[in-house]
Amino acid sequence: METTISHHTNTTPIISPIPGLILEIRVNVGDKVSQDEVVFIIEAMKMENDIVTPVDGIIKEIKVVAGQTVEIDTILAVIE
Amino acid sequence: MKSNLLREEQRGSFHIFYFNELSTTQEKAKEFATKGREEWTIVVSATQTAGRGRFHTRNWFSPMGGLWFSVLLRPEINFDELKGFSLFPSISAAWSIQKLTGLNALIKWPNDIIVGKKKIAGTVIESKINMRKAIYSVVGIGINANFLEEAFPKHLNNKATSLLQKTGKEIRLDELLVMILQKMRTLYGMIIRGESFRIIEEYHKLSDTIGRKVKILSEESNITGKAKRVGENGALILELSDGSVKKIETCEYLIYT
Repeated sequence: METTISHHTNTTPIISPIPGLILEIRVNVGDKVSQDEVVFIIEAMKMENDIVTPVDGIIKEIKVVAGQTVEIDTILAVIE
Repeated sequence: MKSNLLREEQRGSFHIFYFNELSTTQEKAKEFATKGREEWTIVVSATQTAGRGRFHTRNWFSPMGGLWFSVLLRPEINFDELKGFSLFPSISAAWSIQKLTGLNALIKWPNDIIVGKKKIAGTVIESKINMRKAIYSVVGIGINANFLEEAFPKHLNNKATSLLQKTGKEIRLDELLVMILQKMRTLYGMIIRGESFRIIEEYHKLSDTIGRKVKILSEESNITGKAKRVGENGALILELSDGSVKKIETCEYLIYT
């Protein structure tokens, strides 16, 4: 079962599953997204990884920029 | 996408689809993944019209006579626990080329397979990840097999070679394919069981880079050091001239100095 962390405000974070480099951000704040839609591309461990949103919603916040290196569990964006 | 399925066959646990021509085997394998195909579905194409290496920016010349294929995997454990995952395709390719042809195929970090100073094969891994788990991973391998160096476009002159060029003999592509798949399955089992030390041991045996002085070229900086080993996530561990240690996880180019 996939892990979804919900807060009182009904938001869900998208977290980095691995340390890596943000190659591409495919969404903007305010964008409507659907479950399993690719929102970030992260280069990690010499591989290209499409990170998908775990839920439907609207992108409330993007916490990283392209070119940034992130650690595991870094919150990349918040979906409402 | 143009796709001409020639045949499909089951070889043990491998379900192999052979195409005459695809844009890339990676895209077809991802399409299969989205449609729910099982792990160890294999896509092979006689030619690729848009073959590529890492990050879509590096084209891969893919004429008739090469071995171009992708493997669909669905790892059951969390993605960050897949230690050695980035290393196992290149180990499988280099090991199999050595076994089948006797050539001294080695791995230039991170994932180029070379003979002498020329590239003979390459690998790529693309995954789709939801929270901590991969929905799928697609491993792509391309091997310059039964064509000569003269077939390469000019910009690859002196950079790429082929099995035929080096051995003077054509090989059976299906034999090489199955050998690589069997090696991949063995190594993948080790990864799933958490035995990454065995993967790293095999990588070191086949590495052309470890022990050499290298220069890492990236957008941010250039770093020179001695390649000491690879870590379990595939990072290259360098010893710098001041004795400090630097872990390299991404790079544009690696050159030997």
